[in-house]
Amino acid sequence: MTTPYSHKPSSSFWRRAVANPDPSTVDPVIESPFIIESSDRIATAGSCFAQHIARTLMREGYRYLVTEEGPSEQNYGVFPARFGNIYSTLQLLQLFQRAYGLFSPNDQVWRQDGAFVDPFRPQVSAFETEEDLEADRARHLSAVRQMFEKSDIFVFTLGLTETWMSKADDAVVPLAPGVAGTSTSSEYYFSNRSVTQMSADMSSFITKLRVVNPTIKVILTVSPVPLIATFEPRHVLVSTCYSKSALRVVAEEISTSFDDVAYFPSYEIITGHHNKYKYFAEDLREVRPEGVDHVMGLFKRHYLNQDKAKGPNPEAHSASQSSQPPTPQKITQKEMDELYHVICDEEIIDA
Amino acid sequence: MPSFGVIGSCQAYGVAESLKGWVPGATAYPLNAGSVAAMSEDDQQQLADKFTACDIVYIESVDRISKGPLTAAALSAKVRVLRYPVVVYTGLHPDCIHVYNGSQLIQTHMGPYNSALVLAAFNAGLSPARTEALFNRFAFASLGYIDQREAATAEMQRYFEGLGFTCMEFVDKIFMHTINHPYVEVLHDITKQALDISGFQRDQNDVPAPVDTLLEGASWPIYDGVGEYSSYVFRGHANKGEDRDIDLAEFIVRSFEVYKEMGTLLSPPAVERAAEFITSEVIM
Repeated sequence: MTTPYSHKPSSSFWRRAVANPDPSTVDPVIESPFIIESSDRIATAGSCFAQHIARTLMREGYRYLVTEEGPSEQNYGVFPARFGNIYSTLQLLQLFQRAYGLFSPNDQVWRQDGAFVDPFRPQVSAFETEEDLEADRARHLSAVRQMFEKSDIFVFTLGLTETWMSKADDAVVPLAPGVAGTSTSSEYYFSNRSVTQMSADMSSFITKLRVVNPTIKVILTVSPVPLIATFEPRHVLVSTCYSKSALRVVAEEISTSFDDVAYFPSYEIITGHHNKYKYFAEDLREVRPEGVDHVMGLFKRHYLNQDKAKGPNPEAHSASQSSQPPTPQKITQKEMDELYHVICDEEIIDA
Repeated sequence: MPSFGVIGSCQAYGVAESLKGWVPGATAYPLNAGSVAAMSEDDQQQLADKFTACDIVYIESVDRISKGPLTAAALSAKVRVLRYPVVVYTGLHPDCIHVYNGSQLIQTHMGPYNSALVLAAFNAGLSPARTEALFNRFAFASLGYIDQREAATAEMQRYFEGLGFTCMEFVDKIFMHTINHPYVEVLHDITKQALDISGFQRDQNDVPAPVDTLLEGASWPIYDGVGEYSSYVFRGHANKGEDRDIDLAEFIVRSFEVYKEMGTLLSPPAVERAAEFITSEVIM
């Protein structure tokens, strides 16, 4: 007797695709809508988990686009331009709007320990004078424009729904005032973004992005890292569940409504039941190197052409895809060191 | 040696000089059609007599003289006339426009040329700094500036071909100082074609173009994404001396000062489009 599910591949069945396979071999990617060629210029942005993708691409010799160059100890090269972590969809949209002169927030400068910091990247650098900050920001926003215009692939990791916004003009800052620097001119309010709001943010961002770069391809991921803290009057576990669920829905809505926008399931690879949460460190928040390797191994396999060159998977839609993922690579000390260099500025909330 | 008459815009002078280069020993009389309206009937007739004595009169295809003995119709009854294309091209300077206050052409640092985006930003109440920040690829693409070159090229090809000319020699290059001031090399090429079409013998060698007198005038910058290279140096008329070249920030400030002195300005379609862009995209 046949059922509507009879001809579905093994990847459609929990037991065969998740419960039974070796956890390190679970591969939830069915197909990638496009491939990253070695000639493609790739840019990444997003929460701290996006930095893993950046590091892998650089290590693999791909053309990781850096448009704002400088010494690494000053946070250059972490992302293509020195914008720091971009946690929310509205922060990304506003970065574009600020870069292209569409938005000029009321708050331009925060103070921290006598220095001047940029409210939109307070952890990136501190400046002796306001003029120094403004000059650096002009260079920075120029580099941001270069990134949007020159990249062939833009990878964005959605990180948080909880945001802090200026009462003056809804400008989104990555960290609440007081966590890193303080405003002397504006008050800020807390906003936990809805799916509708975030989908609108991302839709607007991609539409604008393609005005300056019509052929750019976008890969969305959701950070598997739980919230360090919630401002909602509820348990952080509940807030984390909402945040990840909502971001995952946004990624789904956007990737299915735009051409050449893909969703890569790094979130599922790390948090999926198959590994019984073992990809997290003791703090149940930091992702272990094995988890990062699992994610990046699948990313390489499905999106990077050097792995495709090893030969197409003849059963891309069959169980064999789930049962034959790449062998996890041995973790080197260098990789461990790199993990510790991932800049998660939200951690200072709980410092 | 043949004698030529040339009637048209300021471009007629470049054509006349080029004729003398292509046909050594020839005489060429240029006439700026814009000056005719202020002439007496006698002066017009004297000029007409001079032109009808030429072997041929080259007249721009756009009629700028509406009555009297110097109209294309009047002259063609007495002398051979060939219409040639006037070079107007917005593809390299899509933001460059003329703006009127009533019948008065508004003058900026760039002479009769204004920026549609700057005027729209002024009308919207944006500061000079915020206006300057809009000079980027997003605004240019949204306003159709980047696509304008393809459309303008197609239009120019159609127009030139309709007159039996071609613009293929130069249209893919940077060839305009402003929307209506071509490089003299363009006029030189058009002159060569005019001679060939009208059957006059010319030097078959690669005759150098005459001095580009339009270099004395304003030169509008080519924006990012519009041309192969870009800059934001706004070069005014040579009579401005050391103050001739100013940057975008200064051009905006000076344009704002001009607009503040004016009453309600007529908004050409390009300004309306820029206003719509600002309304829909710029967070005030």
